[in-house]
This record gives sequence, structure tokens and C-alpha cells, in this order.
Amino acid sequence: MEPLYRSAELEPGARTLDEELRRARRGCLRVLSQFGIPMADAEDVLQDAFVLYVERIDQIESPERWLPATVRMLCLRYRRARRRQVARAVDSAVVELLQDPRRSEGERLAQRQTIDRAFGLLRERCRQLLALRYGRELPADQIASRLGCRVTSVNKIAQRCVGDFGERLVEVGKAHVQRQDGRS
Amino acid sequence: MNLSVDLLSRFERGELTAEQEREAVRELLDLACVPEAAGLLPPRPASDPSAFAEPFERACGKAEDALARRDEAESRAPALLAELAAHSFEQQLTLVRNHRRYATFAFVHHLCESSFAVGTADLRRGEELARLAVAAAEQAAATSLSPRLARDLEAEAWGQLGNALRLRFDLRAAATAFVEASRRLAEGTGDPLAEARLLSLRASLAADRGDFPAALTLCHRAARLQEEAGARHPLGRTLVQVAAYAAEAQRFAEAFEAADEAARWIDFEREPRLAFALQHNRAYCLEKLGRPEEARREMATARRLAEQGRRRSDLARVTWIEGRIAADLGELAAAERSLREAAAEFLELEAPFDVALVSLELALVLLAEGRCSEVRELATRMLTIFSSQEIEPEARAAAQLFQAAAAREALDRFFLLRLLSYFEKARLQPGLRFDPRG
Repeated sequence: MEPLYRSAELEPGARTLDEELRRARRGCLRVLSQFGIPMADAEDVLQDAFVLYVERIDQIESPERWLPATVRMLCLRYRRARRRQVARAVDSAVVELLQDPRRSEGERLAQRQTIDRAFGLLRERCRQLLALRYGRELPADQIASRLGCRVTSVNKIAQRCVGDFGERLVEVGKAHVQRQDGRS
Repeated sequence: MNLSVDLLSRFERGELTAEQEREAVRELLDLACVPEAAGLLPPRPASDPSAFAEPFERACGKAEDALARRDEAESRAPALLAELAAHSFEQQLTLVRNHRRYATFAFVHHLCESSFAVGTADLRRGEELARLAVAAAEQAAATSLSPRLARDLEAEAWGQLGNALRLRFDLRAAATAFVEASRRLAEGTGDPLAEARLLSLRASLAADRGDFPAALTLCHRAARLQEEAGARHPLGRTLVQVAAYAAEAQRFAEAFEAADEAARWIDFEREPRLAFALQHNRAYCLEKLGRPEEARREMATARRLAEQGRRRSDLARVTWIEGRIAADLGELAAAERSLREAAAEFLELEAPFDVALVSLELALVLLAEGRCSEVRELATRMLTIFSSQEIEPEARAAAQLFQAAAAREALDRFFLLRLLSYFEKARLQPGLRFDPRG
């Protein structure tokens, strides 16, 4: 009969911590590169995974499989946290820029046009949704009827689009800085 | 504001002030609003894995230090707990909350393991140990290396508290503790084994509520995570749960298959009691599948394991199923002997629902032999037990109906089977009413 679950075979012979970690090295490094984790943060990610391994050493039978799986989860969470943070910052900054009472109507209009053009970095659907959300400041039910989606989905899609937008803005910023550094 | 890679990294980490963030976003919008901005977006090739070799080496070095610290804390943990035990529980909590020596991963693990090991033997102490674990984990969170590790540790402690509360049958409080654990786990490292452990504990709660399909779904989710992480023993452990819940859900063939599968993964030296749990489950399923001879062979091994383990409740369960198997095989005298013995043992163990279930099975045997007066005595004794204990009025009412029908000699096999089915469910669903018409 085909087994329901498969698991790694235990190999005989005790190994030192260093040996165990090194056996998982290839898998861990591959995960870090797949997620494009900045070098400065990669050590923190690995350190969390290794400390957790040390704390659970008696329960983990296959560090070669457990460590890359855990590094993968840490990278996912790292990326999600960054994305959430950037999305939050972009969302509140855009709202404030559009509603700044110290600015004239003309300045606010110019700012709105700048933002609309920046949405060009996004897919068409996100572009439409964010233009309606920020540009016309429409409530969720009206956005939903214009885009043909459910009201309950609007916030979820908007969050995803703002997350994409934030990531793209930061990428453009980094590319710009690198290009300038190259010129100088 | 001059954009730089460093500033953008701090922006991503949330390290800028609100004003700086606004400035940065304004600058980024200015850069992004030009038509050629999209051309600036770099393709996203994966970087070279070997580029991470240096951080890997540095993290390896720190892991050695962490192991040394952990070994030291682990060796101190039992003495620390023994030292605490000299105080009242309130004092223990105060000490744990105010002294850093208790705020270690190792001590929290030790408390959780101790609480789990106490199990049903001392429900109050099990809960106290879990509450101390929560307090120690919260203290350790303030001193740990990273917030994610701290959340994992807190989740472990809250999970254990949920389990201790479940064993006390405070199911609502248990569910709340599991929610706390899940919330912390979501902010933790994402350790698949920690998640699997919590899923497995939540499955136990679902099973206690009688929701076996939900319990099985949670178990299968846990098993997948354990399989991916190559965790053999925990996977086997989860499959023991699958076997038990599938049996409770009357899916005996599935239960039998899961028990077989579990035996492939379990390290029986590490947890000898699981051998009994598996063997008992196999015999139980075989009996339910109408294969009493095979069940008897399996049960002989289960009895040997129960005698080695010396747990009274395990031995009582073995005796109960031995009685049932004997009844299936038409050996009514042996069945009666075993069932009477099991009922007496459950009575001493203060397990009234088990007493009721065994008594009803005994009543079936007696009824088959036309011994109505003995059934009447049995029903009266069961009602006395139910009246003297804190049993829900609905279950007591069902015991009264049993006694009244026995007194009138109006009992038949079908009525007894309906009562059996009712008490099996009522054990898990307080407040459930018995419908005598089925």
C-alpha cells in the first residue's frame, strides 16, 4: 500500500552542530537568494533560524530539511513585514500630500497628476483602483461598482495594490540612486 | 532630502519619522511620475547563493555560542523548578515574573514539558506549570535575541496552557489560549514544527468537542508540515491522533490504516506509551469492524503494554474491550466478568461516563441471558452514581429513564443501544438530551 506520508530517513552517527548546519548550507543559501534578502539582513534571518534550531535540537530529526524550510518561512515573513511597512508609509503619505491644507488648490492638483502618472508603474487594474481611491477619493462601494468587484474585496485588493506600488517606488528609488552613484 | 540606499533601507524597515517618510514618498513619486520610470525597474534575477556565504559563516559562529548557553540553561532548569516548588503558586508566579534567571528558552521548554507530562494525573498542577511557562516566556521575550523567536516561545507556552485547560475540560478557556498562541505564532519565525504542534493541540480540542471531522483536518495539516520538515516521531504521533479520531468518527478502516502508518514513524523508546495507544486502537478498530478473533490477538499485546505502563485507566480500557470481544464471541460469562471489573475500576477512577458505557454493555450481556433483576440492580447503581456526582441534568435524566425502564422490565436491546449511543455523545456534548424514541 502507498504510504500516506513520507519522511527523511535518519542517518546513523552523531554530528556536531557545525556539521549539521553546514549540511543545510546549500539549501539555506538558495532560499536567501530566491527571496533576494538584502545582505545586511541575511545574517539576522540565518541567526534566528539557527538559534531556533539550537533550542529545538532534540525535536528536529532532519536539520537538512528543517533549516531551509524555516529560513524560507523567515524570508516570507521578512518580505511581508517590509511590504506592509512600505504600504502603510506610502498610503498615509499619499493621503496627506493630497489633503495638505497648506497647499493651494493648484499645487494639490499638480500633486494629484504626479501621483496618477506614478501609478503607471502598476498593472491596469491596480492603476484604476488606486486612481479611484486617491484621485477621486471614492468610497469602497462606488469603487466596487465601477470595477465590477465585491465591496468586501475592495479593501483587500487595494492593500495588495498599495503594497505593489510601495515596492515599485522603492525599486525605482534604488535604481535611480545606483545610476547616480555610477555616474559620479 | 537626499535619497540613498541606506535611507531607502531604513524606510523599508520603518525606521524613519513620519515627516521623513512623507518626504521620501514625495521624492519617490517625483522619480516615478516620469514616463521612463518603468524602465528603471530592474528585472528581478535571483542573486548568487554563494554571495550569502559570509553571513552564513557569521551566523554559524553565533549558533555555537547559543548552544553553549542553551546547554547551561537546560541543565539548570530542573533545579530552578524544584526551587520554585517550595513556594505557593502565587509566589511562584511573582518569582518568575521578577527574576531573570527564569527567563530562558530552556526553562520555558522545561515547564511546558513538565505540564504535558503531568497530563491528567494532576490537572491543577498541569495548569499551574503552563501558567508559569506563559509568565517565563513573556519575561524571556524582553531579553531574547529577536522578537520572532520570542513570539515562538510565547506561542509554545500559550499552546501548552490551552492544552492544560482542555484537560480540565474548560474548553472555552482552552480555545482562547489557543487563539493567543496562534496570534503569537503568526508573528513568530514560521517554524513548521511549532505550527504543527499547535495544530495537533487544536485537534485535541476539536475532538473533545466531538467535532472529529475538524480534528482530522487539523491533524492532516499538522502531518503535512511534519512530513515536509522530516520530523518522523512527531509525524507518527499525529498519526496516532488520526487513528483515534477516525475511530471516534466510526471510520474504522481509516483508523486502522493510520495506526499502521503511525507505527512506521514513531520512536517507541522515546515515548513508550504510544505503543499502547496504537495497539489499543488497532484492537478497538478490529472489534468494531466485526473481526473479534483478530482483535483478541492484538489486545493481548495491548494488555502486556498496559501492564508495563502501569496506568490504571489504560488497564481499565483493556479490560473493557476484552469484555466486548468476549461478548462478540458469545463467551458471555467471560464478558460479564471483564465488564464488571472495568466498571468497578472506572468508578474508582471517577469516570462516570465510562462507568455508564460499560454498565450499558454489561446490561446487554445480562439481558441476552434474561437476567432482568440484575439489569435492574445495575440501572439503580448507575443512577446512584450519576446522582452523587456533578453530572449534567440531561445525562442524569437519561440514567433515570434507564432505571425506570429496567424497573418495569421494559428494556430491550434497541433501547440499550440508543442509550449507549447517547452516553457516547453526551460525554463530549454537555447539555445533550436523550430522545428515547431515537
